[in-house]
Amino acid sequence: MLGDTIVAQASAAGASARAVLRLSGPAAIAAAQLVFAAPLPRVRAQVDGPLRFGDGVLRVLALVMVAPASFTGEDTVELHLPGSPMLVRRLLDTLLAEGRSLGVREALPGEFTARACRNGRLSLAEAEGVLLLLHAADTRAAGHAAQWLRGGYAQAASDLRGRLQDVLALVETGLDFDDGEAGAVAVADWLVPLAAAAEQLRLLRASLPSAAPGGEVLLLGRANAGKSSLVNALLGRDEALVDGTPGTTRDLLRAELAPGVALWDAPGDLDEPTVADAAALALRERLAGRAAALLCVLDATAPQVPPAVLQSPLPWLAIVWTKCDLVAEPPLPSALAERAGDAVPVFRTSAARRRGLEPLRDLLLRSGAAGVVDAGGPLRSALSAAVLAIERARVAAPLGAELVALELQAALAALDGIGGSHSPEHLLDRIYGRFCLGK
Amino acid sequence: MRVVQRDFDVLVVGGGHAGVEAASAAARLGCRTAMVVLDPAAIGRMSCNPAIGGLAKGQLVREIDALGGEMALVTDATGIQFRMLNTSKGPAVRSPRAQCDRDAYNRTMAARVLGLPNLTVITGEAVALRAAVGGARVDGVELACGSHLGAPAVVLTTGTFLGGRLFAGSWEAPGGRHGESAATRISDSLRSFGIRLGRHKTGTPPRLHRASIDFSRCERQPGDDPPQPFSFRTRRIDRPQMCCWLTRTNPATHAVIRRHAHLSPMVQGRIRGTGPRYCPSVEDKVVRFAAQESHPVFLEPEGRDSIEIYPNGVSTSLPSEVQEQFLRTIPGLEEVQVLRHGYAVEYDHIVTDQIRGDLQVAALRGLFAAGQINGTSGYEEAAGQGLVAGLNAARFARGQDPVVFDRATAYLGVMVDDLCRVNPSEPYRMFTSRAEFRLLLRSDNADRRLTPLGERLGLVDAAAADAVRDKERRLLAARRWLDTTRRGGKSLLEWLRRPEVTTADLLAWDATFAAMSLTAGELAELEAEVKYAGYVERQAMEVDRLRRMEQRRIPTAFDYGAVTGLSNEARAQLLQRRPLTLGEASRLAGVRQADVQLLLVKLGC
Repeated sequence: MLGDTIVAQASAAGASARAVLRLSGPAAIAAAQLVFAAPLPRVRAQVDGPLRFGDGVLRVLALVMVAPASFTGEDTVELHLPGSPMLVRRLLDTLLAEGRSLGVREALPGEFTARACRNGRLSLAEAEGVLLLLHAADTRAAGHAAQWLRGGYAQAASDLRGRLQDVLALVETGLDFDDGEAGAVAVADWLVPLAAAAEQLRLLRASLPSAAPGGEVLLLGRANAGKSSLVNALLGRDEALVDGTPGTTRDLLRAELAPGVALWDAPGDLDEPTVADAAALALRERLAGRAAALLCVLDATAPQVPPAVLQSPLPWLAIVWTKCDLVAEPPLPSALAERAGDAVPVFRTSAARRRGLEPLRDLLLRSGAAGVVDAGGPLRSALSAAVLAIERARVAAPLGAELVALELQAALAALDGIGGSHSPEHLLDRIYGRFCLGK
Repeated sequence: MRVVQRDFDVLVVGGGHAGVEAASAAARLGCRTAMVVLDPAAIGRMSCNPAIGGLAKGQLVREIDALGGEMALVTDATGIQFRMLNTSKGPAVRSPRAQCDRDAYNRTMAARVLGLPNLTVITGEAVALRAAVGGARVDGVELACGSHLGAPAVVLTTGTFLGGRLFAGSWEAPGGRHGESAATRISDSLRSFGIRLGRHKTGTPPRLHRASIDFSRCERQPGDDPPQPFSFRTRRIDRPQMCCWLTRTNPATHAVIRRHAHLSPMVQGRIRGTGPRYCPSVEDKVVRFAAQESHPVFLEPEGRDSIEIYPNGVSTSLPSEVQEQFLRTIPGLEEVQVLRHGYAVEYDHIVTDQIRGDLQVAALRGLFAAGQINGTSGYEEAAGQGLVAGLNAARFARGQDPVVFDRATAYLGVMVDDLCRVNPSEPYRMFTSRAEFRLLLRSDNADRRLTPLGERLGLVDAAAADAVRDKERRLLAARRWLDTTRRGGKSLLEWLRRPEVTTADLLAWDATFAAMSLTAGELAELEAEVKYAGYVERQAMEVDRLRRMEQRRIPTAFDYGAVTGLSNEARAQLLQRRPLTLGEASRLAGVRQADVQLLLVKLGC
């Protein structure tokens, strides 16, 4: 685990004058070179140069530190750039995508610290201090993960379980019934659906949001639900361009409410999005993975819930009614109430009258204090355990179907925490549903 | 009322596969045992298929044998065709199966039982259970003739006779088996103690006249050469084997069945009991899997000299004239003569959430149950429970602690635990997939798993226990030899690890190994240990974890309400069932891994 190269933002989350991206590991310098136009030396150095990125005019500072003289004790490159979260995120994405062949991956929470400790650069006590803070964030993440399961995610996980159970049913039919009873079940019959299930599992894992600072909150709602007005009202200044025409916000806007607390004003869902709108929405999808939570914004005069809200894997911070000065607030749409459960607070606001904003602002400030939130963490480890078990199942295929079954059981057990459960009775139901068995 | 004062330690009601093993186990343990049967000549009779064993069932028979039981020995003595199933698959899922001579099996078993020391066979019909005054504790049974047999422990093994009812077409009548009457009054007696009963259904195919079948139109299905015995105590089987035959149904068969399906008592709703999905009637197969154009029919001889053929695959309760009509569309059966028609039978069973891990019925102390009365099907499942119930009835009678097999030790443990945990919605059949530790629970190592325990309990004799110790030594020596003998730069043991290499290759390569003359079972065991290396260790670790969890007791007054985060389904189940241990809790339907983790935390583990 410690042999690969990791990257993450090393400066405080949120907007500030400067932001720092840190790469650490054997391929740190080579990876930095992928985005940095000037040559980087293999000695401790400070290099000023343009980014090989976007239109290429942005000049940044690269600090090169060679092992063991760095925070982590490994080769390290820090890229110091203007403090635009958008820029940091795009650069991070580029590094992760292009650096994959070099073994670059995103650092886990606390991983720089763990490496520093492992390489003797930090005492255990010092490292523990840092990790304790991160652990507090994990506890919160576990709560968020539970919240998510009420959403579309539980369905996706249960579909996946179903597919794996189907594969297991095929394997077991071949083992538990002789050819006379079931007809022969060939290895080829289950290898193909097994490969498909493995792929689906990987996609599901990739769709999990990565760890994000607790104060990064995404606003989601229908176009013209009043998201931008809400942002302006909360900020007390006009940052977002506001207009009564649906679809005014066609780009993502990040507005900082306080240090460490930021609202992402995202384009709303239109009935008929144009190509450009679709691109902006795709960007929103990608960036949604970088936020820690979402605010669901509902127009009291037209309470419609776009599917994006219901399908988002992000934990919900709150539901916010807008335009409450115009009409009495209607009941929550049932799909929404079901998804949110009782734990999500509901706020009634009017941007025009500046009403109901303070309790919401308080909640946002509190969420900012939570540090890093890794809502996907518990699920990611469950899915990863399942992926590993399926890999072992495929390796075991030539050795014997009974071993494949053992690994599939392990994969299903790993998914057990994500809704549903597995038992021999379920298995038999699946077997009988497909085969005419018995003499 | 006439009272016959006869003192027994254990009373076994019924003489089928469960009753035989229950009585034999109690008698082997030295208990004064009585077996109450309607007809002593019917002891050990095979009601349906004249075969023993099969996938997962073969493992059960080997386990019964490892604990000194009867089934495997009598199968070896009366088998007419032996096969090891699943030989193309791994050793954990291979199982022995044998066709037996039905009459010889019945005769041999009855003779063995009648000759058992400590056992008295009593002819009569048990009509009621007797409870001790003032206590929910059994003290004997009452017979139809009015006499009372006293015993502190009673094992009920009533099979399909408990409230049995037979059906074929529009005909229906009370009965336990073709030509034998049912036991109707004992159901009322069970109910009077507050024991809840359910209803199951099973069926049997018509029996065919051997001389009326044209076997040249069927496919030969020979047995293994040489045959592998069932029992660890049988050295070898020298009798010549018989052949079975395979033919198939076709669209013409299905058309006849479909045209008359409305005459089936199942379709008409006259049978309320649930039938087994793994053993559907032919009308069920045709209706439910309409797209399938053909189903196999195995023609199995009922015995060496028997004129009967058992057509495995066409169990039916259609009217008798329809049975003949559809059979005659099948290749080889164009001129077939039906000797006895197929029928369905519906019977009572105890709802199994009232059964405990020692097969005692919770409502009435000292009452044990085994076989179809516990909602299972199959001779082997019945016999296995018979052994467990007989063993525990004997221990109960003597004031000893119950013996509960766990899921990591034996299929016997898997079966009993399954029965206690879920109320099967259909007659319960054993499958290898029910055993999470099936790599460890193989038919080849049942003796090593269980015989030492059997010796401690007093179920097996010294000779059987010595044989296992001898086998351990031989296997160890063989392993050492394979580990130290090299071929092409690798040890023979390393060769055996490769998927394509089998013990047969090693026997051909190495004369010393061949000269050790290991039995087929021993070779299978050696192969399993080598091929499953790594996996077996992993399962052993899980077994360890399971046993630790199994033993973690949950206080009876445990407050599930105080455990936040439990799923509602889990909480409801836990409150209703009140499991004694964390292991039991973890296997309840609706209780998830996450719930178990929460309980672990709360219990302070």
